Amino acid sequence: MAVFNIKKREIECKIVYYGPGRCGKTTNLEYIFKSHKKQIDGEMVSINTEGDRTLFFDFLPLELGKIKGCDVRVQLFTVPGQVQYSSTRKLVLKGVDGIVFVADSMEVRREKNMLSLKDLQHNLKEYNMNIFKIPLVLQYNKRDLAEEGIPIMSIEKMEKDLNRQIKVPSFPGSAVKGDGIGKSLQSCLQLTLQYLNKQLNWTK
Amino acid sequence: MNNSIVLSGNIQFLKLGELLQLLGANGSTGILRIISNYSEIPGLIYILKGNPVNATAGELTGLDAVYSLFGWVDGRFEFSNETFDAKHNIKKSRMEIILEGIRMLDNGVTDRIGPVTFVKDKSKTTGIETTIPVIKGPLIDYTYVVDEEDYHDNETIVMQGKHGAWVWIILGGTVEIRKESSKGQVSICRIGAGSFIGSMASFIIQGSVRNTTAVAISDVQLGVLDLQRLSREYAHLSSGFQEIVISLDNRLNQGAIRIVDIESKKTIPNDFMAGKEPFIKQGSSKSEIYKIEQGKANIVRSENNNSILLGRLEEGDFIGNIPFLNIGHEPDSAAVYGSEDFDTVEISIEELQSEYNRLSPTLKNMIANNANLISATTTMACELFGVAKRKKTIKNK
Repeated sequence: MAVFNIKKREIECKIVYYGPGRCGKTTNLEYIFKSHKKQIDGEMVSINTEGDRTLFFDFLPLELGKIKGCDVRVQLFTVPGQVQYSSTRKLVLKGVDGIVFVADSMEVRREKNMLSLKDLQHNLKEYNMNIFKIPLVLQYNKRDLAEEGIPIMSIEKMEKDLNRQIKVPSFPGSAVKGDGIGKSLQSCLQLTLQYLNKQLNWTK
Repeated sequence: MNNSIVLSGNIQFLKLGELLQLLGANGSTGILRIISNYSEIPGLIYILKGNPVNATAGELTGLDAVYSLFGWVDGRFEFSNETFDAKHNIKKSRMEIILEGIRMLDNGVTDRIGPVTFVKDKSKTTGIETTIPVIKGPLIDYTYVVDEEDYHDNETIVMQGKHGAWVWIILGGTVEIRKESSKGQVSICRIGAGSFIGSMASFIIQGSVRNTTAVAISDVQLGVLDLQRLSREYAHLSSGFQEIVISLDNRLNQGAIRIVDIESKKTIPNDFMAGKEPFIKQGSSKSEIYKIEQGKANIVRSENNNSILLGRLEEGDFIGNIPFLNIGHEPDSAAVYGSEDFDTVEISIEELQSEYNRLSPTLKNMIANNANLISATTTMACELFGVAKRKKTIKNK
């Protein structure tokens, strides 16, 4: 649930990048941080956890403008994939407004993707949230690997694996090159704001 | 109470990370005090316009102090709205501190300060690594200590089966509680500073028989408690409250017996459970407390597809939610199944609560310590059960 900061007249909402370890969540955020420098006040916080990094920064999506006279501030987070960081995952997922699920296109990671999505559903449930209702987009990352001859899954196959039930917008992407990164974030933001509007009964 | 306190509560409910986010979003200025029963001095975090600028926790100051406070998982917090003159020696951003703080907690860099700490231990009997909890109590009230005694490493303090009514409080060192079984001694748990040796049944039956053996596993300093004073205090309690205290003792003893059962591979038939609806479901929000009038009740925890019997209670025992204690059983983490002739009567929670509030600190600590022990022995029993099952499946393969 978004936080209304009355003092600053801001609506703060939280977008979390979720996905299996080493799928490119961090690369996603690093790319956004670099390419949207102007819209970011403050620093990127990076916490080194074993085998992964947790990132956080504030992001001001300028194109969205004001809602009811309030600025919208988005906090972007990644979660550490490793099991042991349960407190971190819990804190990060608490009060989440929208999720970008980053899936790994590599063949060998097929099962990891599915497990992680299941884990997300489970964690959301603990907070009484429903994966079918929360704003969620999928990003099929690492499409660029095909050029290097590494076996990757076809979009159709990934759709069938991950998106058969939840039926959310999905985007091919390449976090290293920056392809599809902006698109998936934008789509997630749009969904999030629609959801907030609906929740708060602000009819357009 | 200080009038400037504008926010206070339980740190278990609102964790430090969430608290700092809340104060940060609000842009508050003041001092956040974290009060734990396990530390004499409260931890302080100085917050200026929502950002932590300095902190103290024990000997630590600055950022190190903030990180260590993430480990204070059991206690209360108070935020007072005031100006202060503390050095601004924390420069990190709020979110960075929070993320780093919980990472250190998850990584085990920061120690959790609470009633139970866990020590990794390679169990000799199973060869599979299990954790043995060390249960500590809150700060010691010295007014009840009449004498001090020292025990050396490996010395037996009390022996199972022997008569005795002394009750001690551990002032320093670690004691292991063991129980005799057909296959020798089984360790039940370890207790440290602030925990009690000797059961609360000592108050009613003079010269009662010891249920377990207590052995010093380091040099130990004990305080002998003023048993007369405690017994007198106990005698003044309502009979209902006295029964609850004894019932808790029974439940703890049941837990210890279950550990022995599991260790010696004795199986107990889950009679009157099969296909029956539980009297209290695990995870239900039932807040009543009942006294068993007739019949027997099984306390059962379901975990990882296992149903683990935690104990069997009888007529005169209590089941349900004891509001001021957390024993880690029903209704949150266990279910209660009744036998055919099972019958209960509901007990008023309000009276119990107000009586508990009037108890002396030492008696309160004893009861709370007992509850922590129940919860820890339960965890231990479940872990052993899991280990035993895993070994069985390995064997079968």
